[in-house]
Amino acid sequence: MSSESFLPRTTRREFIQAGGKAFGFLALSQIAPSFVARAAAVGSPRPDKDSSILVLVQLAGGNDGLNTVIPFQDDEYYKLRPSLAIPRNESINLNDELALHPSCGEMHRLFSDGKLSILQNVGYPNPNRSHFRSMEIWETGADPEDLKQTGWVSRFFDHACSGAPSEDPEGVYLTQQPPQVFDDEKFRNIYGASTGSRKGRGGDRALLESLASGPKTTQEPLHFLSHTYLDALAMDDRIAAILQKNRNTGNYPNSRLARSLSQVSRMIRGGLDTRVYFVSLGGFDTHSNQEGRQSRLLAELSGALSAFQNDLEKDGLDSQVTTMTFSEFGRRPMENESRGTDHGTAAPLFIMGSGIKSPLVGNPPSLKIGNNKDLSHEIDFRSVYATVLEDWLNCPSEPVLGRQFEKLPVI
Amino acid sequence: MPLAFSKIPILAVWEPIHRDDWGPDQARHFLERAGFGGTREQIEEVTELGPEQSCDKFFAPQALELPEWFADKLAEFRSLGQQAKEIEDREERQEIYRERNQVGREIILELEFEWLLRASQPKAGFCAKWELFLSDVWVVGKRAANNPHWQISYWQSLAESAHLPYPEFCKNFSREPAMMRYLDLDKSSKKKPNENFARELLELFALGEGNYSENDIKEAARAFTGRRIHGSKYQQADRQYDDGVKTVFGRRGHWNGDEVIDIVFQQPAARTFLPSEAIRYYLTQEPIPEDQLKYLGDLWADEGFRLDALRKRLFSSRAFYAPDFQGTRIKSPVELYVGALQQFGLQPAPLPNRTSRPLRDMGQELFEPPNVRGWIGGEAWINAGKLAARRRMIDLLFTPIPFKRLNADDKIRVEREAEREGSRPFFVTRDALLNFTGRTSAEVSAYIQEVLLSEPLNESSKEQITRFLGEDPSPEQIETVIITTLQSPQYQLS
Repeated sequence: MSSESFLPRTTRREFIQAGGKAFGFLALSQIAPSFVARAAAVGSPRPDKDSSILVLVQLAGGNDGLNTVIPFQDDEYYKLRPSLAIPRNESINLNDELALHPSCGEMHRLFSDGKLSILQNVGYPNPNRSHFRSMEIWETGADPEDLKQTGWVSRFFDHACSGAPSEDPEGVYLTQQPPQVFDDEKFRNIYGASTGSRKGRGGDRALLESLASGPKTTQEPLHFLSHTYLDALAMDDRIAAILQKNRNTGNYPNSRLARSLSQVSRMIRGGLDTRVYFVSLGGFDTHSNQEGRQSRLLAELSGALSAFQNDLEKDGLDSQVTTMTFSEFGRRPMENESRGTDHGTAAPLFIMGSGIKSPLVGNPPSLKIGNNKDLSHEIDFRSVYATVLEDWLNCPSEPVLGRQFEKLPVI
Repeated sequence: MPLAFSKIPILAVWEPIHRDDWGPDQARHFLERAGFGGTREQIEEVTELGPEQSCDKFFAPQALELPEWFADKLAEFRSLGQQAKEIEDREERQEIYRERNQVGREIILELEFEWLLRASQPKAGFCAKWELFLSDVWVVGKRAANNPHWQISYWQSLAESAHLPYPEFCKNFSREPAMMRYLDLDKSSKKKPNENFARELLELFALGEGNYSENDIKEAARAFTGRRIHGSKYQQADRQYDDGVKTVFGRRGHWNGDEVIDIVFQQPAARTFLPSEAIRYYLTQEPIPEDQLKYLGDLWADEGFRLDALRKRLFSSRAFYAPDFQGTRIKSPVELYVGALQQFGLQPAPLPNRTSRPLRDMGQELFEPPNVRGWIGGEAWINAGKLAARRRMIDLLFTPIPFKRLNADDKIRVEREAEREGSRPFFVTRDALLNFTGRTSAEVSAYIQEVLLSEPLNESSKEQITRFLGEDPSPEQIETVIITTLQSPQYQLS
């Protein structure tokens, strides 16, 4: 293909090793991907390999917490949920007052092995029950009143003790649209990897490349556009090569979340300098017929998390990675008329990794509440962020979150 | 073949393009630049009509009408505000205000959808783009001016005022609650005049930097005191108004705001300021020579500063069709999105993650320009992340709505919208696509060249497309080629 000469098939490392030879290429090529040019200029070594990595698992739609971590000794629970309560003999006991949903067998194993921590009753003051707004609050890490525009992870990138400059993406997401956790006013190197579930759609890579390298013109703005395009496509190539090279042997179930997490593990194994990965599992908005749907979703979550953790452990990568779930809100304690639940407030959150200290943090929610009322949270979600930032990502939390939040003894 | 811009004699530069120079290429340019882009039928129609008649036809004023249920939502918004006022407990009151603000944001989100819906209609697209241009001059933001009444009033007034004489437009918009809040006019009083609005009026709305003194700002600010928002409408508060003598641009008098605007339009810079903004928005980011600009300003002043006269002259002119200006402008995210909707007979899907969110990812959050200067435009629209967002947005136009996986609220939106009168598809199906492109390799290539792209492709790119399609392309291959074309650097230009 004629455009072949425009695209280096090397990774950044290989390029730097090649040294002078590659400069020849730069001088000859009118349109060189700028990461190659920048790397050549900086000649930077890789930052430390042992930088900690965070994987965020979004449970979109609002997961029903009460049926995920079940207070099975609480009579109120059964009163609130005449048709939806999980029968005592089906749930999986965590201790003598709490149990996991029957679909969460694998998660229970992780919990027993001390690799899964359950943070109970996480939320924020003055809860907002709009999917859109509440997700925005979680992803920006803002006060509910504050219309903060940047994502909390983006602010982490600002304050992270950075190693040497890297051309790898700072954040990678495997969702159709970029999550707001990476939102920023300035340009950030965030990469959207294919979720692998939409085959047959979208444009053709080779054709796009040939259109982008077709105009051998210096006329602006087409030249500039083509240049930027080839840059982005070169990054695609690089990630694709890493995914190709690092096939995992892990035994992942056949589900969308498992496929996403398997890709994340391959990118981690490939040695990307990326610190934060974002994956998502949607469909938790169970206003009606919750039982079957939530079962399937929690089984998908449980199976995928466990396969991911096993996979990382095989190569000793588990010491580098912590995984955390979150959802925009929990659901109303009192079931509705359609065997479902409506938008609620606080809910449990899971943190998975080999460095977990306490398996259970916080208290079960109090269910002595008025008719059709909501739970009040005990742990502020920003306390969880502060913990992850300071105890895992090695970053001061105050500049990221705007103020000090109490840390939790999790990691 | 039209002449290059620098070759056109100055007195002919703003004259209508000659009949002999007019053809399908110019018609497509008109559709892409004055509007959002067109179909093959529209290219034929505009070729037939010529630019002046096309202006008359496509710029017929179109109101921004909102569905009836907006009234209920607004009533809820007001009643929560009322309720909050009567509550004594601070915590409780704030809780109600939060709820009210949430309702307010939802209404504005729905307004964004209604605006996009109207813009995607071939009949209203031209006006919508012109209003977007004027909103890029008279900038307000939805976060600072967050009352849904103000936002609705602002966008509806734009639709109503976009053809008026510009001085009258300025007078109207100096009374728009959203503008009054955005530039602090509602806090400006005789005792403490706030200069924010007066400064931007002179610097960003009417004259441009260097064409006024700091004293003109101070004095003009006094003339605009006493404007308040009452019950979400403009009201004059006489006691806050400074009726003393002011000296503006050397003229002494008891001027009020409207009179100051009249004086401003007697300044020579007022003749060229808005035309140069229109040229920057529609034609080129490079400044054009002083003489040509001044001549356009004089012609415009003779036409009483009428906005409809300015756009008709610009969009019919020989300058507008000079080859220098073909395929040299980077489409804004809204132009790319609405243009693609129009070209494939679509309407926006009633889901924020298919409308507002992709626009924001591409760098243009609707109703929220980055600051009072508006969008920077040009190359600032492009970086690797924003290009990826552009590609994703194009993909979405060809992706069915995953109805089963939608949130309950979103399901309701989709159902409500599908039942609405005159609703159009939310995404392109293969069958519908083939009606636009044709089925043979030659037809598809011709469609790409004649309808989608503003510049001819070079031979190697053409060859690639032909090779990809093969002898007898499948609908899937045609779809892939079209999606790729829409994602190509070439399609980002108009």
